[in-house]
Amino acid sequence: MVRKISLWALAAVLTALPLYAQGYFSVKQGAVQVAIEPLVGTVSAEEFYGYDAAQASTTCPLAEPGVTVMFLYRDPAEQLYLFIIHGQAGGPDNSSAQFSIQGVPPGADFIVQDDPVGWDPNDIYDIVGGQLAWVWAPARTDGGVLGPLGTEFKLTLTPGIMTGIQKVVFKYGDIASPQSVELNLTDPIEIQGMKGQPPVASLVVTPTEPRARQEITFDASGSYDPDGQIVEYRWDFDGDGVVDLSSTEPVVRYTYSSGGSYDVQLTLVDDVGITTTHTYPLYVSTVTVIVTRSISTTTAMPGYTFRVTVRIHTDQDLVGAGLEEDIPAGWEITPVENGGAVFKRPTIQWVFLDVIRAGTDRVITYDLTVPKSELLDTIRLPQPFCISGVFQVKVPDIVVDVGGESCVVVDDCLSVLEAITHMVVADPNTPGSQDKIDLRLSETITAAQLARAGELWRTERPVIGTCGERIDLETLKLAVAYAKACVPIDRPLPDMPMANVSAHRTIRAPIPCEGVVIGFYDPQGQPLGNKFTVKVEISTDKDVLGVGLDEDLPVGWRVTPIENDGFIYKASDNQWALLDTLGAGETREIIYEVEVPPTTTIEAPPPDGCLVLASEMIAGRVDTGHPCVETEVAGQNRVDLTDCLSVITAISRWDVTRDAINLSLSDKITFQQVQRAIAFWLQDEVVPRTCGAGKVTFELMKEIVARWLTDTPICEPLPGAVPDICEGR
Amino acid sequence: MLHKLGIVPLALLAYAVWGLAGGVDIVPSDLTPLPGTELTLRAEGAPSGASLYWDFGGDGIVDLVSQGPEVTYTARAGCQEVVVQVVQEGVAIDSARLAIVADERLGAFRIVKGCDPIEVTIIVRAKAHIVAPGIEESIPPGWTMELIDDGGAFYKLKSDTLQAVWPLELWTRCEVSLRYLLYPPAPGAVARLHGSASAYAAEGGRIEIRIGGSVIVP
Repeated sequence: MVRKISLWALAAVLTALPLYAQGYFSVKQGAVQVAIEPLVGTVSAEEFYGYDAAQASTTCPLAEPGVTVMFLYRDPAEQLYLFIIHGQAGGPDNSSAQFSIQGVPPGADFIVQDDPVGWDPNDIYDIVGGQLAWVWAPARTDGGVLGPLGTEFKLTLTPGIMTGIQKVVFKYGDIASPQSVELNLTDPIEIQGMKGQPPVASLVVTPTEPRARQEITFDASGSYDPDGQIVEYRWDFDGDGVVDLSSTEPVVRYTYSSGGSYDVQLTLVDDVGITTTHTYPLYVSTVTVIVTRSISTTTAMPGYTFRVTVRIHTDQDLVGAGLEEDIPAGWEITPVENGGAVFKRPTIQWVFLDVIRAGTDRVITYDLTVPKSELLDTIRLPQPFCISGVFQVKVPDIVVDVGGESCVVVDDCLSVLEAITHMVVADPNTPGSQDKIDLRLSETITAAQLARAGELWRTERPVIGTCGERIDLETLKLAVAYAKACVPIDRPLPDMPMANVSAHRTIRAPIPCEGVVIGFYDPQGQPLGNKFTVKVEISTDKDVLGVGLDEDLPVGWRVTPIENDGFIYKASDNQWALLDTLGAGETREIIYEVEVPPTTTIEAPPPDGCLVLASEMIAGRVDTGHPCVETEVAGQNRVDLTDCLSVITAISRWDVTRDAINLSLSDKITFQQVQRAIAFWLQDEVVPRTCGAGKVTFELMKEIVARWLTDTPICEPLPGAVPDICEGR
Repeated sequence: MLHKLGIVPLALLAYAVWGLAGGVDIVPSDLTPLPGTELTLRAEGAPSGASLYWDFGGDGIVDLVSQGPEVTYTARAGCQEVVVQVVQEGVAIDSARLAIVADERLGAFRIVKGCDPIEVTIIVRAKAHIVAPGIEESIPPGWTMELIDDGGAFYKLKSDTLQAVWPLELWTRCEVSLRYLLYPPAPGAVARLHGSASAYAAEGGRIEIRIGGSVIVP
């Protein structure tokens, strides 16, 4: 939760440069882009041009001497044409004009040629080769009419050698008194016709007088598309024609490394691909004085003191510098470090009596104490309070607003993360020592604070300063991520490559192929066979900060950790947390023992011929603090439960001395157990504590002898054995 | 430790003469007696005129000195060893040792022949209705065992143990047996044999006894 508010937003002077797209046509040359309306005439294009073959000139009333006039003309048949009219030259010499032309739509051609090629061999109307050229004598004109153009086209006319012409003028609007836009004789002229309307640009730059190495906000959120929506914002910050940044969001930030004049070009792209390019001339000052404020907390409690640090950095010598801070009324200031300046408490001003040399930093540090609760009675908390500041220099003459952090929220309680980072950990060697909050501490979590957070999480104790809040696993992992990344908690965590985190569970039952057995006791009456062990292996292919394991077991099952491998264990939730980095390629093992209540009732399994046992499931999840990865624990998750043994299991656990079951015996069958099994078999006796008929059959007798002779544990296949049909059931 | 007759402890003498002259044997009137049975023990192969020093229990203390070859002995329940030492003109010239095992339901004894290899026969005898008789016989360290007759038993021969079990019932006075050869690690080697026999009584309960008979080879 970031509660700081930048003063830049408050101090910004909005500068909007809207473009009005009136219609569906535009003319663009460099930074100039104008939405236009074609001239609408009552006569045909040929007639309006009025070519007089005898004079080799036009009679069009819009022709101007010494000027190349262009306009779009819509005739009574609603056909659209481009007029190009080179006006009469004033001097005695011939005039000439050359253009390369691209984008002539199919079907269009010069329907008027002034003069026709056969008449004047100097005139060229090569729309296929993209070349246009005219040469005309004094007191005459040249030009032509290109069309019909249709409704969607994009013509590009690039001027070549021009003599006797001072400028190009594009006319539009009312044919009786047209408007005009003046174009130069060097840059390409784009004439575009569109079915849809182009987007309309609006750009706000903050601050309005930026400096090099100062972050500048470019806000195009006032832009819009009249008949659709803007889908892309292309930014060319230095106007070199190369898009520096493409975004779908209208607000971006950019920092110039050096000062100078830049033509920022913003191109808007709407949902049908129509673009509008807007140019914003921007002067970036070369003077780089950066004054930033950092505040040691985002939330402060009444009566508590936090720390403010103002850092001044300059790239050139500063003479006569001063800082003025405006703090909330009634708050007590205590200077800590004045950075060589003289502090005047009544006005909260610092004046540097010496020269601040280029390339140096000055740091002013002071503590602010929030008034106690009773003094804030009229204010409903939480409430933000802000500090504003100005840094002024006489030589050179600079006024710089203090940037960076400016506001804190005053509240009765801290967030858990805030409390951790401002916690003074109790000294375990001092009786009665308790955790304390010191808001002057930085917002970077230390190792001691992290360890304390882990302990508070494990023991479910509230965190000091939070009004009784406790740490949950999510917050703890986040704290680990911030601590290990050494990033203050009010900053975003650094980007880290996404990791493949995996977790695998292995369950080892007391009797491996039997599961957990209930209702068995040792001679002292202690339950046996009702405990099993679980191993969870967690690994990652890339570094991750903070790892949590959450195991969900049936109600009443009791977990006892055996190996935590660096994790800490929280008994109440069966959760483990790693307060460290799990490195790429590293594997951690958590081993724990689970005791199933000896009073658990076992449901009878279905009698299907195979050994099918009642079972319970374990579900588990591993997730990480940063990057945020969440994965289920794979591997074994089923725990079989039974209150009777298979006959061969009973034989393997037969204590011949006591002539009774002893679950602590191994899976291997001994000589004495073979002998006992033979006795069971020969006497057709039921083996105690077994399921079903519970007798040693002829087949089983052979298997018991075979396992004894081959030293094969009861859960493993005999050498050369065909897989059992029940295998895997 | 004093002995009852004030002469050299029998065990020391016995160990001193092992392997020197193996002529004397103890032959009991019953190899699988019931507890409390009075047995006749006969020292065969002792020269006439020699004194026989008897130690009943194998504790090294002479319990009886006889001039004739036969003595009587009442078997106690369980295992006891009997040692006889042949003394002629005050010099111990020979000895023999025998384990007597008395049990009401099961009997087992060992018979030894030859010296390299030594042929050992183990006989398990039912004295009541029993099930799944078996034996476990230790192999002396360094010695090698070769089973030459399993007698119908399932057996497992490892480096230090022979285990054998018969998948059958035995009625009273019936018996099973097996034979094996023991190869000494070196000429003249002497070893002590040790083993047990076991079974389940038909009426229930496990029975386990020591194997009686010869205990020292060769």
